[in-house]
Formats: sequence, C-alpha cells, structure tokens
Amino acid sequence: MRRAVVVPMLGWALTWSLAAGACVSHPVGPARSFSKYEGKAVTTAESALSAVETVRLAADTAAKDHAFGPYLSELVSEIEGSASGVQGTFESIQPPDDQADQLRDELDQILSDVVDHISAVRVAVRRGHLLDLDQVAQDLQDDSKHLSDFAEEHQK
Amino acid sequence: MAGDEASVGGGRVLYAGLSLLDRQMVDRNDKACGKVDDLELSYSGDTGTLYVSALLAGPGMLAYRLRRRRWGLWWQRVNRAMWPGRGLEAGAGAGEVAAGEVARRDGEADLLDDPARVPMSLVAGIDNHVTLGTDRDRLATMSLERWAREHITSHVPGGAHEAE
Amino acid sequence: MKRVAEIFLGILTAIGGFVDIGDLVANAETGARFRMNLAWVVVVGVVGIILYAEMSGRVAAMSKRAVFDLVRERLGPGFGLVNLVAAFFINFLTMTAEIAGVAIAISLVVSVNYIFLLPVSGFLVWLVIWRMPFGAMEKVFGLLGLALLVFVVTVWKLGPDWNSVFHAASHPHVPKGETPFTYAYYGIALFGAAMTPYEVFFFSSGAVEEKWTEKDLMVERANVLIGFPLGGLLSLSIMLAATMVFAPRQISVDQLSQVALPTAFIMGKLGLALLLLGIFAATFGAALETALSSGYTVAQHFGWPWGKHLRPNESSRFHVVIAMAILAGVLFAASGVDPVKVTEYSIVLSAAALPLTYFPILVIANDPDYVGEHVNGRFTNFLAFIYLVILVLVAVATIPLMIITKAGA
Repeated sequence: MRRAVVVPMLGWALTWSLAAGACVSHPVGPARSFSKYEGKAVTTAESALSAVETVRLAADTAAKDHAFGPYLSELVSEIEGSASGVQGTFESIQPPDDQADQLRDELDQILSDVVDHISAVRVAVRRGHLLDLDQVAQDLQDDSKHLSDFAEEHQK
Repeated sequence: MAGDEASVGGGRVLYAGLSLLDRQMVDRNDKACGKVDDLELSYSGDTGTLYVSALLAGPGMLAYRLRRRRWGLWWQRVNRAMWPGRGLEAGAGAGEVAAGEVARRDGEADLLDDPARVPMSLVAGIDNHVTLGTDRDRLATMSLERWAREHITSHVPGGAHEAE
Repeated sequence: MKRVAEIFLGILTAIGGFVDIGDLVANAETGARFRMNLAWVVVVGVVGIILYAEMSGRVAAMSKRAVFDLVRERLGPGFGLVNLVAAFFINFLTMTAEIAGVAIAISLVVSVNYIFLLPVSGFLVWLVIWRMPFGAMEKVFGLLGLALLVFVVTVWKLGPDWNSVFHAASHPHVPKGETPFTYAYYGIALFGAAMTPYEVFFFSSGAVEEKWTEKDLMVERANVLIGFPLGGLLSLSIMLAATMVFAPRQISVDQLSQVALPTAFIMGKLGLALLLLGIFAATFGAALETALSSGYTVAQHFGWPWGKHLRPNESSRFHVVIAMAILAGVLFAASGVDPVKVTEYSIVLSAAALPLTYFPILVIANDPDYVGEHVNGRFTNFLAFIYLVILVLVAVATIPLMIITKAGA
C-alpha cells in the first residue's frame, strides 16, 4: 500500500487516540461567568440527586429483604465515593463573583448533608442493619427534595 | 520447482508481488511459519534478468518494506545479535544455498541476512499460501518463536499439553 | 437430531454470549437517560452485527482463514498494520473493561474492593485461555450468561404498558434536557456496543479453531440469525428495566453495581444472585474473547502459529502476546481509571473503527477466490452497502460528537 494512503490513515488513528485521551478529564471545567457557574451547579445537583435516589432505592430494596449485605455494601460505598467526588469537583470550581459565592454556599451545604447521610447508610449496611435501612435513609428524602428544588430553580 | 508455463532460466514466471508478497508460509506439515514480508531479488548474469532468490520474513523486513528503513535495519541487527549463526541448520537444504552466487542489495546486504531469510530453494509450492519443504523448527525465521517457547511457555505448567 | 441439538445449543450460547459489559452499561445508561428513545439503535445494531458476523463466519468457513490474515493479504501490509494498531488498541480497552467487570461482579459477592480483585480476575482469564479447550470455554460461559435472562423476568414483573412502550420506542425524540448531540453520542455508544468488532475477530478465528467447513454454514446462520436477535431483545430488556426503574427517579448509571438494582428491587435475592452470576459469566466470557482476540489479531497479521487448538508450546508468541495484554489490562484497570468510562470509550471508539474491519470483510465475502460459490447474494450486498454508508457516517461523526458533548457529559 502506498505511503500516500498509509500516512493519512495513521494520522486518523492518532487523532482519535488523542481525542480519547483528552476526553478522560472530568467534564466540569472552569466557569467564567455566573450563568456558566450556575449551569455547572445544576449539573452537580443532578449528579448528587442520582446518588441520593440510588441509595434510597437500595435502602428500600434492603428493607424488603431483597438483597444481600455484600452487594449493598459495595453499591452504597461506591455511590458514597462518587457523591463525595462530585462535591469535591464542585468545590474546586472557582466562583466568578459574589452571587456565585452565595450559590456555592447553598449547594455545598446540601452536598455535605448528602454525603453525611449516605455515609450513615453505609455504616448501617456494614453493621448488618438491612431490614430497617429505609429508616436510616429517611434523611435522604429531604436531601432529594432540596436537590431537585435547587436544580429546578436554577435551570434556564 | 518444475518449469511449467513460460520458462525463464528454469524457473516459473509469476507476478512475485501478487503471488508471494504477504502470503502465509506453511511448513511441510501445514503449520504456519510467518508471512512473506518482503522478497530478495538477485541478478542472474546468465539470463540478464532479476529473479527472486529468497523470501524475507519478520517485523524488521516488513518495516523495511514499508519504508521505515532505519527501524527495520535496527530490528534486523538485534535479531542477528540474538541468534548469530542460527540460520539454516545442516540438512535443511543448506547445501542448496549457493551463497556466493547471490548478489545482495548493495550496502545493507549483510544486515538482510540469516534470521530473516528463507531461500527460494526451500519453497515446495506456491498456492494461495507458500508451502516450504522443511520443518518450521529448522527455519531461521522462526528463531523468535523458538526463543519464546524455550524461555517462556515451556516453563509454565501445561505448556506442553493440549488444553483439556 | 444431533444437528438440531447442536443448533439449539449454538443459539443458546449466542444469546448468552451476546451481552457484555458494553451492552450492560450502554443499555442501562441510555434507558435511564433517554428512556426508550434510543431503542431503535439496538435494532439497527443487531441487524448490522448479523450481517457482519454472518459474512465473516462464511469467509472463515470457506477459506479456512481468519479476518486479520485475509485483511493483510487482500489489502496490503500498510492498511493491515494501521488496522492492526487501531483494532488492538480498542480491543485492549474493551478487554480492560471486561476484566474490571469480572472483578466488580466478584466484589459484589465477597464485598472486597474490586481493585484488589483485578489480579484474580486477570489470572483466571489467563488460566482458562491456557488450559480450557475452545469449545468448552465458549459453551460454559455462553450458557452461564443466560442467567442474564432475569432481566426479561424483571421487566415482565414490572408489567409495563406494552402499547405505550411500543409507541415510545417507535416515535423516538430527543428528550427534554438533552441536546441532539448527546442523543447522537449515546446512539453511537449503543451502536458500538451491539456491533463490537472483537466479536467478529473472535467469531472468524473461532470458526477456524473449530475447523468449520461448508457443512457448518447452516449452523452458523442459525446461531447468528436466531441467537443475535434474541440477544438484542435481552439488551432491550435491560434498557426497559432502566427506563422504568431509574428514569422516574432521575437516577443516572455510573456504576456497574447499579445495573443490578432494578432486578434486586423487583425480584429479590434469587433474582439478584442469578443476575450477578450472569454479569460474571458475560464479562468473563467477553474477557476471554477479547484477550484471545489480542493474540489472534497480532499472530494473524504476522503469520505466526496461533490458536487454542495448538499446544501453547506450538504457539508461543501467540500466548505471550495474550499474557502480556492481560497483564497490561490489569495494570491499566488498577491505575484507578473508572471502569464505566473505559467501557464507554471502548464502545464509542469501536463504532468509529468499524469500517476498518467491515470493509475488508465485505470485499472478501464477494470474492470467489476465497468463498467459492458462497459469495454474497444481491440482497445481502444491498443491505451490506447501506451499512457501509452508516458505518462511515458514524466513524466521521464520532470524534466531533465526543468533543462537542464532552464525551456525553
């Protein structure tokens, strides 16, 4: 095969390997204006909401005696890890102005509650309190409401 | 090779690029032993024509053919350093290689030597693959395969057995 | 009678082997995010893999040669080498994801972080490749993979309103909160998950390993034509379960363990146990196929002796490549990459690279020198050409979409 064909093809292969590499970084980048920052806050709230709802579903499943301890324990601790990851990523975004500071405080408070409450569920699971896990997860119901209210309020 | 079709200098006329290059080589027991990565052409003083004097095999040869010459030559140098003089062992058609008569590519000639060469005298048949009239264990081009067997797979339990 | 049993077993194996970590992740993710609006892509993908696998099986049975062997011979070493590098890289990503999937499946049973189980998972994969015969390997994991059918039972117990499911699936639209770009990106992911190219390297190499002949063509067609659509239905049931359980709760899927939650919630412990067994078997089977494929592709390109039908000592370089690929995959997975992200990239890049292997197969399946009288019929060629156009469009669109959507964020 001719070089004229091989070289562009190699280039093509290389380009998408690079593109793949570039995309590995976390999707939350810097925010230059309030509305950009607000958008990222909404994305963060939605991710946290997914984590909260997953743990609530897991707790309901456990309360029905529908799942084993090891499965629940791994699931909840993975979700706990990703929730605190979401919080960490959000905190690392530089808020562009005062208005953004306010938004940051508001969401950060909710996120801290979320992580605490998920941790409580994880502790209960590890101790084998599976059948009353829905009780332990009760607090997450409020978190869920706060997060969806927050997302709705700031959605454009 | 019997000279059917049009004969030139006793050999069969084929389009070497199409019928040989990139074909699978198998030994006389039908076992795979590499691809024809490149061809060694020699000049015959008698007939005044070029003829294929050897099949060349190995990643180094392939790289050389694909114009990654420096890389190809480096690979061959390493190859030769690892298996010096382990070219054709006695009996594997060694007598048929008339080394002196072969006019090699000038300059790089000695780097294109043994571990990558299968002399045409070993070729027993050309079909949609190339059949060699010897055992692959005697081929210089299978040095790396033998090395991997001797140093790696044969040391792992089960390497000598079929899966069961 | 024997033939009927053989066909039946083959179909079961094809269903159980259809789903791998890519299908699990892509179908659950898109169900949770897009409900049934991307279901049509699964159908397009299943028709595509049927076409593609049938052609490569036929080429392998008739020519006794596998894909990568022929790609080089037919289209030259330059094209062959580019193809090899791309295929090896993507196959490596897929293999890493599958090995991580095996470790995660084990971790959900023994409650040890999956990172610590990666070496175990990699070792088991290597051991089976080293010792277990090809036919047994394929059957065992294919049949165990049938445990994933609990997804179908889950959906049945969820009791969807079928009319509205069909209506939603046949009237797709971009849901609120999503852009046409994210919609297209996840569509490509689903398409790549259904049409994974490693299945084709594996399928054609497997045909050579098992010494298929013209006589086996009927069995092959039955496996593909019946097994794959049923495998596709299994994929759709994963999507539907996610649509019904995750979407209303605004849950997005970013952990493999979440995929089992609907079944546990609806069916209880037995269902969960079966599902975890199914996930283990599906990812393990696919880890075997991809690890073998890394050896197949390289060995076939360079003409080395290859295959599980040989003793490892007779195909040493082939086994060395496989073992090194597995080791590298374990190390890559242990470096802290997110297995779900690796899965996503592997299926999306698979979709982008599909023309590289699809095109040569299409050419060879039309060449009587290789397949004799069994060249493509007119209808097959018509469909195959449409798919070639689709594949090229997908390949061109993938990278821009990846950049625009920030990989589906």
